[in-house]
Amino acid sequence: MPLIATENLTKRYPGPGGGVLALDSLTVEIEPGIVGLVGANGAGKSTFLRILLGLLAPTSGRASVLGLDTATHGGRIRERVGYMPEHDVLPPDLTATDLVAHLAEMSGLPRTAARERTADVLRHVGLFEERYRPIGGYSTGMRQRVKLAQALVHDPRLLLLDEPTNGLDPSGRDEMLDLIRRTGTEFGIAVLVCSHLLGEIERVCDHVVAIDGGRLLRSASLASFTGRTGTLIVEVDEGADDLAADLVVAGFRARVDGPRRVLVAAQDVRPFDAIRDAAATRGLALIRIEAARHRVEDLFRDDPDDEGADGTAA
Amino acid sequence: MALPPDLVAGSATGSIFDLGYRGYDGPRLGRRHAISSLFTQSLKWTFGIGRGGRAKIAPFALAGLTLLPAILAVGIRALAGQATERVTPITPQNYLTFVQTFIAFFVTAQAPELLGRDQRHHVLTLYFSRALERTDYALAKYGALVCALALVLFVPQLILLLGIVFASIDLGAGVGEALPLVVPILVSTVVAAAFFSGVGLVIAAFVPRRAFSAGAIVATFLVLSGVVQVLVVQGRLRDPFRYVALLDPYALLDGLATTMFGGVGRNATVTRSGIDPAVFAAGACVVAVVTLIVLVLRYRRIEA
Repeated sequence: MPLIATENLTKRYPGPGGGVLALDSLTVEIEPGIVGLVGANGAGKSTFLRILLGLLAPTSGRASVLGLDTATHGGRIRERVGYMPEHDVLPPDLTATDLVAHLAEMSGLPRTAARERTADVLRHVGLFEERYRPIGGYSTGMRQRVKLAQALVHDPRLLLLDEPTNGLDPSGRDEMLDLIRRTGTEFGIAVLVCSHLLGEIERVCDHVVAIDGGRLLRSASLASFTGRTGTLIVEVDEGADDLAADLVVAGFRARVDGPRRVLVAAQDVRPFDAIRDAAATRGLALIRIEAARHRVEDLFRDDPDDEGADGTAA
Repeated sequence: MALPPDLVAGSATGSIFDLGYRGYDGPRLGRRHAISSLFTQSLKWTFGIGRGGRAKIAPFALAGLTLLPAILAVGIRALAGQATERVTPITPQNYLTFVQTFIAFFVTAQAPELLGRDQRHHVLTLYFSRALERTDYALAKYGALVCALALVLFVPQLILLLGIVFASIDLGAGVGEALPLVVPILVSTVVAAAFFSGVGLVIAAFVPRRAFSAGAIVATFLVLSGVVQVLVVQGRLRDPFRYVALLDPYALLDGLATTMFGGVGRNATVTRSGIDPAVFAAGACVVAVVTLIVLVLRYRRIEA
């Protein structure tokens, strides 16, 4: 049984000129794991999540979550799903502890269990002493953590995250992505992450669902999106020219790519040793060797029959 | 790889740190528990409990003001003895109309507090993505304000009743005098609390900005009652038009009290309109029910 299944899911928001078509006959099946829902701003990601939660009724088509139909079993779905909305949704005058414990009870947890889970989950997302202070004084990073904590507090089977790294600085983003990754892998909670940032999806997800203009572009494992290209990227501190020359002499196809990068064709593992040896002989500081991959961006950039992309690639 | 939490907590930049995640296998009480706990939590929040010191000022000050007349009345009675029994201006029969302005102010202060914050800060999204349903939210908030207001009004009336019992020369006579008042007090207080709360909550639900909704509520109670009274008393309204008297919230309250306790009402809108006080009492009940329905419908459609 798939975790999430939709069938010709369509959502049209009423408005002038026929309104806005947010989802256009979207049919997709999503299996448990960490799944990235990727698309430009306005591609229909948030609408998709809200329909899954039963917060929004689709114009036509159907969707099921955890085997339950969203139209008829919204309540039971919401009991076992955690939702982290994109926008700021926190009341400034409550403390994180009070808010999260209150929301845990709103999910049906008894009072003492709600308090215990709140303490656990706030520590888990990295809020310590500040959890007893009103949320109004929190930084964006702390607010995002509170939002994640309230989504996790009732130990959901599925976590729906809408742009979880919104407004975070680079280190905050790394920590958030790391936390999402661990939530999905170590704690057995299925995760659906929405993002318009492909780099984040690549770092966290096993499976990617790409939507554009409310239509399914592609749904496949991350590996098939980002398969190896058969090229190694070698980064050195200096002497990229010398390294490339040495490798060519040794019989490899190599070329310089920028002042500190060398690209090496690699059909097997032999180039790794050759690169190491060349760097050692020359006394070069070898910073990293990385297999170059296709990038998820290519999906949006190169799709030939991509009709709905006009103006949506923000 | 995990360091003790104290080490991380002390670091200058907060960091997301893994201390292990534990699942939850305990009971899930579902929607019913969500409703009851939203009700009790909102009831506490109505008195500012758990919301910081400043949130307590308005509710407790107003509760104190509604209490004051009852304490004074009992005190005067006790000091002056039997002789002034009939002179004491405040009795259980006219208590609600005596504190009507405080009731209006309590609703003005607390109805926007209960609903506005969740709308302004989009907290409804967090509620409605849980076991709680939209209707449950409206019912719990309505119930909380009605209970809070009823509580604020019951305590002084209880003091008045005890005053009657203990100021009497003989306890049996005191009890005999107080007992028949219990049911009218309960009914009139609950209905009054419900219709005042309902009006305040409906306005607060449609006007999320606190200052505007508070202004609109106070205008509804004070200005509407004033205008209607002037119309009824000065206007010599003919038959269908004299029923505008039913728009006066204080007239509804007065009619309710008169119907429950008997006697003659004090409110000029009621007496001068020539309409039976029972019609005003019925009007109060209708307003209580209709506002609840409107509130539920509003929360079914509100965007979250």
